[in-house]
Amino acid sequence: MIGTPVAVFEPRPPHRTGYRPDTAVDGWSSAELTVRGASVRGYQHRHDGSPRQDDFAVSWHAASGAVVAAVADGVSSVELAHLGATLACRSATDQLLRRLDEGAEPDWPELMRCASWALVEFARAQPGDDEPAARAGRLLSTTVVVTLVRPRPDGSAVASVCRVGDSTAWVLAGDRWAPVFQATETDTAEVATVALPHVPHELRAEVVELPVGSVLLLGTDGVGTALGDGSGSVGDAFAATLATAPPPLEFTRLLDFSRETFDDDRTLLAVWPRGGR
Amino acid sequence: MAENLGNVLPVYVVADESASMGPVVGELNSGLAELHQALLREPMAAAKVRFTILGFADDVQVRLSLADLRTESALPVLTTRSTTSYGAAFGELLHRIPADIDALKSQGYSVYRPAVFFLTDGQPTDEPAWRDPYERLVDKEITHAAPNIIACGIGAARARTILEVATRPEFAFIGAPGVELGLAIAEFSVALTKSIVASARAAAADRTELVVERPNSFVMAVDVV
Repeated sequence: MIGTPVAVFEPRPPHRTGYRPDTAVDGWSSAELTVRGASVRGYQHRHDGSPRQDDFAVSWHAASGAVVAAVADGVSSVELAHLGATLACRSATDQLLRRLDEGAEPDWPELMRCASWALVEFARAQPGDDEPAARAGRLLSTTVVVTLVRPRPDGSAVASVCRVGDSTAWVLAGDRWAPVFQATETDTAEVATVALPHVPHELRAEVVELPVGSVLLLGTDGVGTALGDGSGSVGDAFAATLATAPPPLEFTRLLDFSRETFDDDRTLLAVWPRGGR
Repeated sequence: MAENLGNVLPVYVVADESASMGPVVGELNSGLAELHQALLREPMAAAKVRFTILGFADDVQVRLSLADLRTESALPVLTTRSTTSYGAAFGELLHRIPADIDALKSQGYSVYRPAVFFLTDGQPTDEPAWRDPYERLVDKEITHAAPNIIACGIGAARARTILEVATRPEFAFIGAPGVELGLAIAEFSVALTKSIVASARAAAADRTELVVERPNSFVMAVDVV
C-alpha cells in the first residue's frame, strides 16, 4: 500500500484466453549478475476479468556471461494483446541470444523486425481476411524494451537498451533515478503511438553504465506512470527495497503495491551487477 | 515535483432544469441514481472520475462539484425552474473548467480532457447570445482544456441545435421519433454510465479518446437532420 489503496476485492478469472497466470515471477544470479523479474495483473484487469497483457522474458548467455531480457506491454485495445507481449519478449530475447552465439554485436533494428515478424507469423494462423501484418497489428500490438547486460571484470556492468513504444528503463543508484531514455517533446509524441509490429525508422540502443551498487530496471508504463520522476512515494518505496536484490517474492510484492488510480498491469525486470567476489 | 497521484477525468453533467422538463425530471433523477450505482460497481473507474452536476435554467445551480462518487451516499436532485439559457450553462463551464483543472493539478493529479454531458429538452431561449460563451469554451486556443461535449436532445430539442452543441457529430444524440421521452432519458442515462466507465478505462489505457455508447432507440442526430 502506497498512499490511498485501491478497493479490496478478490480478482476475477481472466476470460477468453488460454492459461494466463495473474502473476509471473523469476529470479536468479549468475556469477556476475543478479536478476529479478515480475509481471502482475493490474487492478482494473483483475476487476473486469481481463488477462495480464504485460510480460517479460530473461535469459543468461553462458558463454559471455551476459543477461538478455525483454519487457512488453500489449496494447490494451487489441484482442490478443497478452499473446503479443509474450511473443515479443520471447522472440526478442531468443534472437539476441542467437546473435551472441554467433559472436556478433546486436543488430537492434533487425532484432525488432524479428520480434515483429513473430507477431505476423502468429497472426497468419488467426482468422481474418486482412494481410497477416495488418492482422498482427489488429490482434497483437505490443510495446517492447530489450536489454543486453554485459558484466565487466571489475564487477560492474554495461547495458544496451532499445525499445519500441512507451515501456522504459531506469538506472537506480541509491535514491537517484536516472531514466535511460531522455523524453524529448517529439519522443513523447511518437512513443505513445508506436507498437510492434510497427518499428520506427530510426532505432538505436542507449548504452548505460551500471556501477556496483546500481540496478538497471526495465518497466512497462504501469510502473512508469506511478513512478513519475522517482521523487514521490513510489520512487522512495522502490529505492528503499531495491538497493540490493530482494528475494523474488518480496520483489513481486513491492511491484504489486496498491495505490488509487494506478490500476494498469505492471512489469519490472531488474539486473544488479554483483560487484565481483 | 508534487506527489504524483495519477490521472483523473473530470465529468460535467449539465442538465436542463427549465420548466418544460417538469414531466421528465423525476426519471432524469432516477437515471442519475442508476449511474451512481453503476459507478460504485466499477471502483477502479470511479477512482478516476471527478463528477460535477450543474442544473441550468435562466441561471446555473451547482448540484455537485468535483465529487468522488465513491464517497457520495446519494446524488443531488434536479428540479425545474424558468427558461432555457444555454449561455448561462456554457458561461459557467467557461470559468469553472480551468479553475477545476488547476485545483486537481495542484493536488498532484494529471487531468484528462473533461467530458461534458449536455442534456436538454428544448431550444435555447437566449439565441444567439449563447454562441459567444460556447465558442470560447470549445476553442482550444482560448480554453486550453476545452471539453468534449456530448449533447443529448430529448422531447422538443431540434437536431440542428444538438449537432451545434456537440463537439463532434458522433457526440450528438436525439430521441428517435415516437420513443417515449421517459424511456429515452433512461436509455440515455445507461449510455452515460457506460461511456463514463469506458472513458475512465480508456484513460487507464493511456488513450484519451472518448468512447460513447450508442443507445438502441437513439439515433445519431445526423441521421434525422
